[in-house]
Amino acid sequence: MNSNGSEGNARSKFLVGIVAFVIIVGGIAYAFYGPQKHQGYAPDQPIPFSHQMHAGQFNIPCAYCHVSVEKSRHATVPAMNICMNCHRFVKTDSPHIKKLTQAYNDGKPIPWIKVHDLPEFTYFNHERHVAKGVSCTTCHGDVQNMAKIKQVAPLTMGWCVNCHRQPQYNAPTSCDTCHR
Amino acid sequence: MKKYWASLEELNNDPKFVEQAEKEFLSSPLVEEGDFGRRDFMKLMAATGALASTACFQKPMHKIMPYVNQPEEVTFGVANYYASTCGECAASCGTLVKTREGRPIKLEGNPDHPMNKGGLCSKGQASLLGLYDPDRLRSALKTQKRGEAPSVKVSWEDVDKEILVKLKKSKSARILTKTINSPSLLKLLKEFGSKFEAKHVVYDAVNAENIIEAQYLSYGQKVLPQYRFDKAETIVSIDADFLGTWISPVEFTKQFSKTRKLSAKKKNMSELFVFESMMTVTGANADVRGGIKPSQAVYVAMAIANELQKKGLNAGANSETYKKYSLADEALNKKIKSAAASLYNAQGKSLVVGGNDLALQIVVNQINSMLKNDGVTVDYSVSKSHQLQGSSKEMLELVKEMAQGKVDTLIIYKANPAYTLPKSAGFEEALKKVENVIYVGTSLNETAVLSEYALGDHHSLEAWGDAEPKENLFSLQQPTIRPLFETRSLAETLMIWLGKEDDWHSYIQKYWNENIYKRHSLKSSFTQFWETSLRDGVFEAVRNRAQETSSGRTFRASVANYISNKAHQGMEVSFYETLALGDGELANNPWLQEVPDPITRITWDNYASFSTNTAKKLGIQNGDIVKIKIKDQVLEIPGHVQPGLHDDTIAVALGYGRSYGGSVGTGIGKNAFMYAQFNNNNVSYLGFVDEVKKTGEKYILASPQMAQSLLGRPIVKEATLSQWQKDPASGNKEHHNLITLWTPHKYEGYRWAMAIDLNSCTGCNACVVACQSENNIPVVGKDAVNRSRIMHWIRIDRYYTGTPEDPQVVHQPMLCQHCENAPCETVCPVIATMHSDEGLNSQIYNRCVGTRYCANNCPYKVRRFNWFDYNYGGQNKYPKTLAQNPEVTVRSRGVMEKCTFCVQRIQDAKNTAKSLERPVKDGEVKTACQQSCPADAIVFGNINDADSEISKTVKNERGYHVLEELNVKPSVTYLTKIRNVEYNS
Repeated sequence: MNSNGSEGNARSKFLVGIVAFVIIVGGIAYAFYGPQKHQGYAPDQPIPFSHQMHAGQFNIPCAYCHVSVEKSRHATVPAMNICMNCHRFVKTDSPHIKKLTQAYNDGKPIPWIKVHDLPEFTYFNHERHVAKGVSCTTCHGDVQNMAKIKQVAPLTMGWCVNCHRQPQYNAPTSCDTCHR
Repeated sequence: MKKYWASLEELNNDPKFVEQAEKEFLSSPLVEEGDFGRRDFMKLMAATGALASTACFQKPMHKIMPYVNQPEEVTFGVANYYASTCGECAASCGTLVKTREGRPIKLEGNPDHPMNKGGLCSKGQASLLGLYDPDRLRSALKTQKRGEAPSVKVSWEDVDKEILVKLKKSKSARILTKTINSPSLLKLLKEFGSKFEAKHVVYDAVNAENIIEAQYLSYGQKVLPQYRFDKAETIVSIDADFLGTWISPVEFTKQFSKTRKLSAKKKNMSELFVFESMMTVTGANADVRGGIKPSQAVYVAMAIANELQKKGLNAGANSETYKKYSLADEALNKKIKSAAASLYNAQGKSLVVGGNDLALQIVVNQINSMLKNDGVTVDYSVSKSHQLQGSSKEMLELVKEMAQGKVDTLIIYKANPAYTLPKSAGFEEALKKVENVIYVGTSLNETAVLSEYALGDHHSLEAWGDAEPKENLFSLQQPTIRPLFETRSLAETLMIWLGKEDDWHSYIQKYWNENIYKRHSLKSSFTQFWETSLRDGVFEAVRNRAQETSSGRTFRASVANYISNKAHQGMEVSFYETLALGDGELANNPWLQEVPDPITRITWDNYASFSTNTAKKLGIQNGDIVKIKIKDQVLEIPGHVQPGLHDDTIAVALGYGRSYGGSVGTGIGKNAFMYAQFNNNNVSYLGFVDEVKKTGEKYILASPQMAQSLLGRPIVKEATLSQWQKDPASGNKEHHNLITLWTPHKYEGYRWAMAIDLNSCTGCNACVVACQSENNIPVVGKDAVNRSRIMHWIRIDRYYTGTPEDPQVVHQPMLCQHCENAPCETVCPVIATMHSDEGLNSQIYNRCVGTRYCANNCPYKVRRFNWFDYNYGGQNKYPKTLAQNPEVTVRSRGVMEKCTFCVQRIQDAKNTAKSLERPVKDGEVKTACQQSCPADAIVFGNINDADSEISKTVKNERGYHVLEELNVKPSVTYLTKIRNVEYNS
């Protein structure tokens, strides 16, 4: 055992004190800045794609690009060939489209930054929610007015469950609905 | 009541064992690891906690890489299935490959394949990991100097240029392969052979050449028959492990288990007699089992023949020979008599099979002929087997030619004679005399490192191919992933060396068009035929296999010519293949190394098994290292005490002790191939022992079941067939009057439950590996297994009953029982384990803080704790991580886990059903273990649906819950084991 008399005792008390301090301060900071911090997250993307223009101004339906939203748990960021469907002809002189075309021709994907990033132990299913008639905007906000995409909803478990608990939705609340 | 025991220590009430069993928990791992005590641990945990809480501040940034051009058939998050053919052994079962975003993540048996009908063995399941093996040969390599391992990367163009020059100069080339039953590849090899005068030599280390030879000597036809266990009412196996390792085990298990099912309509089942030297899964499932010496096998067969002729069957010219020999062992003779009686009563619907010994096979053939089984259960014409065509004899002839300098070019495909041939065969020396040695295979091995070139081959999941495992049964193998590395399949290589313009895929198509399409009775174009075959994975040219029978052939061999006059006295070693490793090619597959042997329950090693009497005589206990002298060689190996062995038999597994087997497989166990009996003409896997000695040294054999005990509780239940026929509930009478304080759960909608038929389960381990693959279960290694930290969610407990000399075995798959009153749920301080409203006991990883209270409170010991980050870093390097199932969370350190009833599959089925606006249909959800089971022992489904199979099964009188008296109300029902035998005691 590790007993050096009173000197050792004092030292370990000091250590315990520091540890306790860190845990308490850390815990408070986490409570204030932790989960909610993702709300409002709006990183710069490699190409400043505007949903305001595409979904708002031109009224392109969400599922035109997010093709698997109705048939998979992932809505997916569209494959680049979908961008090129239009941008082979549209606005080809824009530097951003040039960058896109260049990447497409090189066979290199654009490394988009994930905004709505659920933890890996959470299995959210787009297909089910869309089939139930949950609108995209319920969780993703007013996308057609966002020049830069931003996380609007907290996307925390409490926020999910609040909806699932509403009797009118008849949604499952078992843990294994989302965690497996 | 019958007494069951999990280990000999338990049977003998070993004081040490009793003390350990009382303790309930094996040890405290925190004290066990040296000085690192509980206090230190708490301190460290506090510090880690502080660090962990500060680490949460930064949101990790993840990137999304979209497809550049999304393939049409890929929907993100939705699996695609492709029918293909398993490339792991020559049995060539049909598979369904589950792919996600273009990478295979799970292999399943193809339910439409007439051979394996949905089942797939542990090796087949594990071949997925072989695809992502980091030790794979990633390109073409060339040696710097002959004799050194090939290490210099060369481009395929250079390889082709250099080798073509050599081939053109070559006068006598040979191609050495394992069994190839791909008709297209065989045709290509023939073309190659005629162009470059290269003879094709087929070598399987463990083969069936004596079966084929004996067929020739008995009937004048060189054939490996197709055995029909499904048509047999009495089966006698003499050293043929047909449920585990023999020729086509999945198919045979499917057939056999069909004859063992019992229901209100089917009141009878087949009877299985097994005489064997090692205890195998076949012996474990026998109604009557006799332990013999390997050299005794033929005498057992002759004794059966003699009994049959006593009953009036005609043994022809061999009649006198059969009368001449007798066995001294009275107990064994009694079993032989009952086997013969049962065979006699089932003439024309019985089957005798035997191991790879010429004399034995000739006698077996005669018995089958005497019983009129020939042409019925022994099918020699309609769908004879192409599965195991290799021969040691031809291999040894090749070695002789090589030694004489008669071979100048040798192309070796996958075969590994440097490892599997005994040293005295002189393969290595002979190979030095061959000018050009080219090895083609998926990884470097003992033979490859002696070659000049080592050419990286595609894995079978990356390449086109076809197979004809049985005559008239054709299957296709299609690539399910783009080759991971710069590899090229043997077929593609040969096409280039032959100067062919088209590619291998069109070569196969052409072959199918010319040879197979015309046997297709329907009127469709070839393209339609090809696409249908590709979708189904299989095409059968003969309809109604079940109806086909032929007349018996005339038996004409004289047994006396093949029997040595004197039976061997003294001890013998039987070298056997294990279910997991086979001939050792798969030694680098950690799933297969860690899956416990179904009988000995030992992982990560081979060992010498002794009978209990012999072990006592020699003073051997588990783990004592022994020296076994066989001729001029000494095998030093840890000993193991195995109930049920003949006192003069030592059993040692083949397939271990690889000296160049990759980062996992190298140096595990001892290479038993080196000690096989070898003469100039042939190799047989038995050794005559001159001396056995204990060295006094100890070795740890890691087993997950060593310290488990039944503590006298009725965990397995069984009855005999006649008892069951009189009363279906017999053996299952003991029930408890249970009262409860809990308010019962209400299950509206679905309620999931499982039933496991102990009578069907053979203990083959397919479910264990299937579960490991489906649920991202990590491998922990030998040391951790020894500390009871194995991670398998489903394990197969093995219990003995009877005496250690003549035990009977029960296998019991044990997994989370998803109890209604789950003891784990009530003790979790953070509610990380929850009861779902569909009866599942869910484990929520992100809530779990790792107190392990739940595991301590689980009466079934099925919860598994992640002591380390098994899934990240170190052992799990690229590309192994690609094998993981994206639908299941990859658990990290400090988290408890256990069977989920494959909740991801349940959710998937529910999702599909909801989209189609109907409830989930019965049979739509198949758990991974259930799907892979070759014996169909597992039933799963919604118990709230009164018409479902599971609802009917749980009402069976044979159904019982393990540890019913605890009133935890498990969702898993076991059905009693039924033996087709009358107890003597």
